[in-house]
Amino acid sequence: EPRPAMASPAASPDSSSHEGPSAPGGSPTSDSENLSPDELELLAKLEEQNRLLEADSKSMRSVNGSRRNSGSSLVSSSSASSNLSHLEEDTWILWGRIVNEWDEWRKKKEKLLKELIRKGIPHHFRAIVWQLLCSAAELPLKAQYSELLRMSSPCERLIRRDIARTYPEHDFFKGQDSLGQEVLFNVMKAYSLVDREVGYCQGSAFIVGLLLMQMPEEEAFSVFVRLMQEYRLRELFKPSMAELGLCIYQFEFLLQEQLPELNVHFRSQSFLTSMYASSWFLTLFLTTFPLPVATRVFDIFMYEGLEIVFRVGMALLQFNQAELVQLDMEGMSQYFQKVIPHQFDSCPDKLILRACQVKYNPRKMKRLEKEYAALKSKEMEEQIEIKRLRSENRLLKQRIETLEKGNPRLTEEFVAHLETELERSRLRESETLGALKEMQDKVLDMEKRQPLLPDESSVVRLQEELQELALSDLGDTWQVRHGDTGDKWQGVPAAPGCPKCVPT
Amino acid sequence: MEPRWQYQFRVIMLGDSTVGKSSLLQCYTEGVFLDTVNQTVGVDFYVQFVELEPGLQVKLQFWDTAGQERFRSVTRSYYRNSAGGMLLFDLTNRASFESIRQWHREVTDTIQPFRMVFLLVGHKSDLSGQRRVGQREAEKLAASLGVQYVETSAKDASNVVQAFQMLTVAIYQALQTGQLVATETWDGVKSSVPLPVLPKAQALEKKQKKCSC
Repeated sequence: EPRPAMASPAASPDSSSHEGPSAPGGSPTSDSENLSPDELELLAKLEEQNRLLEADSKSMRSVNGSRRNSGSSLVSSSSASSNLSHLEEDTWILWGRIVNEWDEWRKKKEKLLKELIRKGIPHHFRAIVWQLLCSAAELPLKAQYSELLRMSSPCERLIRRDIARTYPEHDFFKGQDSLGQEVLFNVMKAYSLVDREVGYCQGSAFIVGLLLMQMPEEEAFSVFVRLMQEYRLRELFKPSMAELGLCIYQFEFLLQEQLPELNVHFRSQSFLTSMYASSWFLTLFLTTFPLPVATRVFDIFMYEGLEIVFRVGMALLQFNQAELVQLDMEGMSQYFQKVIPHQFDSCPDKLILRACQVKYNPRKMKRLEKEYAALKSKEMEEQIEIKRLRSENRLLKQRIETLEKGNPRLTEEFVAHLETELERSRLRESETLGALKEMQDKVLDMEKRQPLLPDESSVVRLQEELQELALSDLGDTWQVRHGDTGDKWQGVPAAPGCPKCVPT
Repeated sequence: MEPRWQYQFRVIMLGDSTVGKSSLLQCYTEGVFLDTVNQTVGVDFYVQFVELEPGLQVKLQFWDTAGQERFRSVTRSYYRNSAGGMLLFDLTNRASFESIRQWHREVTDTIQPFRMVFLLVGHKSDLSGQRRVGQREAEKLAASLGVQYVETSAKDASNVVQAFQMLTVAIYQALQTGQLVATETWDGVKSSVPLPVLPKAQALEKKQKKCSC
């Protein structure tokens, strides 16, 4: 469908809808930033260029549409017909001035700069403008780069494995010994050395690869370090990847708020946001769109940050809502993989314009961040509790197993022990019985010999003798014992002081 | 036009980075081997049909995931709705073999008390000169995990179809024996025909009948 050419920056439709702190109020850009007549004229020309580009893209299919042949021409204007060349020149003049007067533009013409970047940075200026936008030149680490290359990193193997899988179809990175692969490896390795916590994360090489298509490795390294430090990328690529979870959470909020019908459909199909949006955030659309389109988004990212990913993502869903609600989970997955990436090959401006119109409230996003943090810490507590219970469970199970296995063993031992005991008892019993028998025999033997023993009268006589010996108490006992036991001699206690009297 | 299917199984590809998950899938679903493919960032999706026996069509849906450990925070949410898991390691990369147990544990812990049917796959069998994992030790690992083992190569397409067939049959059998139970709320298995009456349930019925006599 026909779309209007991009509005002039002075009356940009989004400068009023944008609620960011950098763009408060609604006064037109040109009034607040006092443009010179030259600059106004240039802007008018740029407008014209946009209109022509739009018409151009409609009349002929762009030749640099797919990633396959995107190597040489990354900027959309390079595909435009020759009647645009003088406008291209004007654009270069304008950007040349911007670069030369950078501080002034950055401070005083912020909104205009933002508009110009949204229209796309000319290919030849990207390297310098990206570096300026993130103050890469002032990075102290830059001086260490060559030294870092001499060191070895624990992530080297992992990086090496992924190098050939980053822009594999791009000329610059084709071939195992290509310059592209070598410098990509260098930058990824150097980064993994200065940030041990993040080390190397899959996906990040696409960002570095794009930088390397524009600038030498040392500069690319500096820009990447800045992006990691200042643009939330470090948080995205950390081992916990918590920031990705947050981005998905925030994106789901926008979806629910702005496209409720689509949101309901996604949910009914269990179509998770992470399915289509993870790579949007992790590679800033570099693995979604062909490079000419993705680079336009990246231009904006360099100035506006991760916000543009939310905007482009929402714009994509807006454009495709009608088709998506007709599809099931599988249909949607394939639609996201095959159709959406090439929808804007010939008209990136259409996408950018819609993205800039998406409602995005930074304050609300901040609030969601706090909400998410609270949610996560609660989840974390639960996870810890679950983990604790799980390991306790595991230990208990192990104990039960040991007991089950151990019990029979214990019983056996116990039985064996009892058997030994029993054996011993039997032995003792037979010993005792033997002793008893012996005693009984002795008694019998003694009974047989009784007549030989002294009779009562002789005992009396002996008693008298004892008495005579003044051992009366012993004599008493003797008499008593004898009276008690009758014929049993063995129980007689030994007479103290008279061992000879004890019968043997 | 999509063939009529009786069953739809969802399968997740698991294993360390660069073991060849995407290559194996692409070889299976598209019949091609590309020397260089983009690294998987996040989750990709593939579909393939397979005829288990004459007239029994099964549709397989695949989640292809990023292998780097930190991506598990993303891929974890895909475990529960998968009926099958391809546990992949690279035969030329010892470390990838050694993390198989951890992958297995990570998944079973996450989805418990539910189950998943696994297949252990030793990939890149064409690089026999660089092999770092023996077939016997891989088979031993498979046995200890209670899964089957197969060696594949996407480059010469050896055993690729067989591997997916093995996993499909294993899922099908798990449904027959009641190890896996299809429910309305679970996306791991969908069926366009009434599910078989499970032998277990039958046995239970018989028992109950016996008791009432």
